[in-house]
Amino acid sequence: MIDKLMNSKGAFFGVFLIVTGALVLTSFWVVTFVYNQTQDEEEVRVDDALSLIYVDYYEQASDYVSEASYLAMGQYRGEFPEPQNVEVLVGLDTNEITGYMLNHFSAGLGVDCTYCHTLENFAADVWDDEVAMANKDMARQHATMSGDLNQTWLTQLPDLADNKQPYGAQIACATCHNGVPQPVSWADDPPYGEPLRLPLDADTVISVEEQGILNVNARRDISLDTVQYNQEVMYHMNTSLGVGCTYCHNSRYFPSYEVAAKYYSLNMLQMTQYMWNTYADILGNQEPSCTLCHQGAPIPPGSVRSVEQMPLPISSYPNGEQ
Amino acid sequence: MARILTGSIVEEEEHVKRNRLAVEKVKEGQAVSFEEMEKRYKKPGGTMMHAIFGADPFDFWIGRFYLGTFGVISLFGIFFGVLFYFYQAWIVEGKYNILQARLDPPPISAGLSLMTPSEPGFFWQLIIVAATIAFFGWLMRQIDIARKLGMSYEIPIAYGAVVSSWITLQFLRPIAMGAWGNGFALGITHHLDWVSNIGYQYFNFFYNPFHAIGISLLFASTLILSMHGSIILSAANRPFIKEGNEDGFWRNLLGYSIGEIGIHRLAFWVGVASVLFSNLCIFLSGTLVKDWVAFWAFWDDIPFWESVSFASLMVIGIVTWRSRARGRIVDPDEYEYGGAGLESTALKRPIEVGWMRRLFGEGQVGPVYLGVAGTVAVAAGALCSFIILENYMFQVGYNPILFAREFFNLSLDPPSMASGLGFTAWHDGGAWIVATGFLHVSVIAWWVRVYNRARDAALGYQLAWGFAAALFLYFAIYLIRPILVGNWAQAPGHGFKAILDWTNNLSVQYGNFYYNPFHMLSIFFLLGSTLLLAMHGATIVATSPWGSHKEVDEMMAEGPGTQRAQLYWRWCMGFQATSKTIHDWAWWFAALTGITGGIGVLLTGTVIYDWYAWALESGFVAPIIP
Repeated sequence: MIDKLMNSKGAFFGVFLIVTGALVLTSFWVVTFVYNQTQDEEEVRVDDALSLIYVDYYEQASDYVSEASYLAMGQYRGEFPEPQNVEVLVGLDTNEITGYMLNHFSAGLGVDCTYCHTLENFAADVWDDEVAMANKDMARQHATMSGDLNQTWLTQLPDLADNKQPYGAQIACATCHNGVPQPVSWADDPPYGEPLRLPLDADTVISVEEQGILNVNARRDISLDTVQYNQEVMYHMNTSLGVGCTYCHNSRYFPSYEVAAKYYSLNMLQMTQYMWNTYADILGNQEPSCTLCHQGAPIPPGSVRSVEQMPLPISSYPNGEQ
Repeated sequence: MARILTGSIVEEEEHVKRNRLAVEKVKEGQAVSFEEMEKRYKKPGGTMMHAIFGADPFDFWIGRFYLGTFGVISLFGIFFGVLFYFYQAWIVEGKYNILQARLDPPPISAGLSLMTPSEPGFFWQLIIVAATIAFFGWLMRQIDIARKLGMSYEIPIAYGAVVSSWITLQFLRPIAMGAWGNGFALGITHHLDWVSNIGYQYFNFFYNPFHAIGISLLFASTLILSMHGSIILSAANRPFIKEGNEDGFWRNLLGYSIGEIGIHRLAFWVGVASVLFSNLCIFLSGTLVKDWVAFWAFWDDIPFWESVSFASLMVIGIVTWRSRARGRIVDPDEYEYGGAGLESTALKRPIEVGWMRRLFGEGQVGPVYLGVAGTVAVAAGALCSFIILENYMFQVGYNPILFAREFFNLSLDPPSMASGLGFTAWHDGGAWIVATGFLHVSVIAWWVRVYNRARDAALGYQLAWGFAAALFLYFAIYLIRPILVGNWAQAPGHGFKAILDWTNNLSVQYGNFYYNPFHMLSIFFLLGSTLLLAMHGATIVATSPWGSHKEVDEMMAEGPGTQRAQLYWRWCMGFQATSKTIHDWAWWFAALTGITGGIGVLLTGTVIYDWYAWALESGFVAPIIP
């Protein structure tokens, strides 16, 4: 019976239909794939919507801040031209501080003033909203942290590579938060097995001279597992920055320092390690990743375009030195 | 028109006699010697120039070597290409050690402009133009020679596939990307740097599916070459061996014999396909795909993994597969096979598969020999697979959808380095040790089976020794090197991704495998195998109308097909192999792929820890700044 079935015309047309269907589906997939690839290239972004402060950033504070908040803010500004109860943004007047609050906190986290303040008194540290009070305290610590990172780490970049100058971007709220109050550092953990994390323990050595886990070349004390881990960390950098290995390496010999960007990535890894070991408790115990800020671009979207657009106390040049 | 499309000086009678063996003609005193054959065909006429213009000024031979108008064009390209190559290396770069020359394309910033003599990349542009002229001339000349011998055009088609690679690499991709700087560097060791940097520019080239298919086809080519070379050599100098003996041997061993014409068709197709897939693999990189790791995101995005569609398609798949698993049954009485119990054949009622007969000229599947060795090999292999798959299931928590979706990512890994060569807990690598042990047993038992079957079929042992060369590479990777290094962790895990990662990681840990000279040799023999396979397959398919595919008989007395094949290469290259010696070439190229590869693996991490540093010391690394 089956023999007859297999040799019948119906079987032939069945196979014909299946093969044709498979070919059509494959062609459809190829066309879609190619179309998507070309779309990304040609996507036109309207410059008007582009933030003038941040790199590749589109959100505006006005989207989040309510009418009532603006009103209260205007009132407060009129009432207190001199800053009240300011701990981090020392040396700025109230106008400058409100500008910073709108552009950095509201636009960066996508939140209203009431997320951290009571509209009755913006300077108050104690009022009837426990959550908002905790948020305000957390925000202060995070602002201090971004100032620390800008001043301790980004200032090193110009001296690292002779033939490459840093972009001059600054770390601000939007750099990590990108419009959400609680950013997720590792969004794509695999469905099984150990999730990937960067080698950020305090005792991991990350330096040009001895790169510890990062240098696997010609090492006799490590196995291919370590190389595999190393490679996964490297792919993480690839996908986070949207660049191939050749962005930092002459891939014919990975341990060599022929490409300037490699110094930068080492500095950034050291910074991430420092961040994790110093600020773990205010990061909600989420280990930082490269994607958190970079999001597929060498210059993180949401970083402040230049040091001039950053309030001095938390910028790379706190004393105004250039 | 007919004169343009086909050769014009072929006698019709050759086609009539196509199916008669030369051996029979020898008996009848009708055989034509190679010298007579050459004299008959070595005369002007039949070229494309003749067909189109009615005259061909260079239609003559220099000794054995056919010149031809296109040969002159080719020589022109060869002369200037070589001249510019050495001028760039010696004069412009000042590298008298030719291994250190870079021969870079123009910088990417120069776009698609033509360079002037003082600018970098000027000679690169001249060289690729000269080389393209040389390749084009050679291709046309191959067509002319085929026309002169009345052969079909399989050889120029196969060669054209290789030329298309050159065009893709040096013209199509650079133009698509908008700069000649994306072209291929021509330096002897510097092209390895180019390959390294292109591979890692797009994150991880091992994950490029067309690269994987291309490489698999290269290895398949080497395997086919080895099997074909072996079977012909194992029948050589054994006058009592007939085609049937070979077919019986393969059917006993594998359940199917592809047959004499089929193997050459397969050779031609696989050889050409490996090149075409390689074209696709490089052309897509940087033009449409910039990240071969993220490319695979589409896999997880397929709606198929939604459990309902997964389950329903599985059911459809199983039903379709079950109804496909039968075929037309051929009268079994003709097939009598000896032996009893395990030492006999299974599938005594062979299956006739129509599409296989149409494709390869041979459609009989079965009978397949069981035997103690074969049974052990299959059982051990099945146990190994079972342990691997069971561990996959364990890793995904026995979730079938996750198992199917992550199948190519899952791997059974060896124990950690700290465990050295000792046994460990089952899920910490113990399973790998046991599974790999079974795999060792399986391949050794299979080797014994190959050896025994050859002995019983009164064939030579070439296939067994060719297989042994491949096993040397296998054992070097999975057994000998881990023991030399002192831990199992140096061996690859069992899984698709694991093998790709192992290849990448070994290269990364030991300073770039491309600078390992034994890896270079292995790649040389691997690509050489594909070249030989495509050349041989194309030649035999093109001359099969005159019976050249009946190689076992043709070795004893050469007929017009084999003589054409030999004339073709004599005129094309100035020398030719015979129907025996081409298989010597085949066997050795395939075997040396495994042998040199195995040596390269064994030296890595035992004698040499950093191949790049070693190459730098040995003085054949191209300098960083030209």
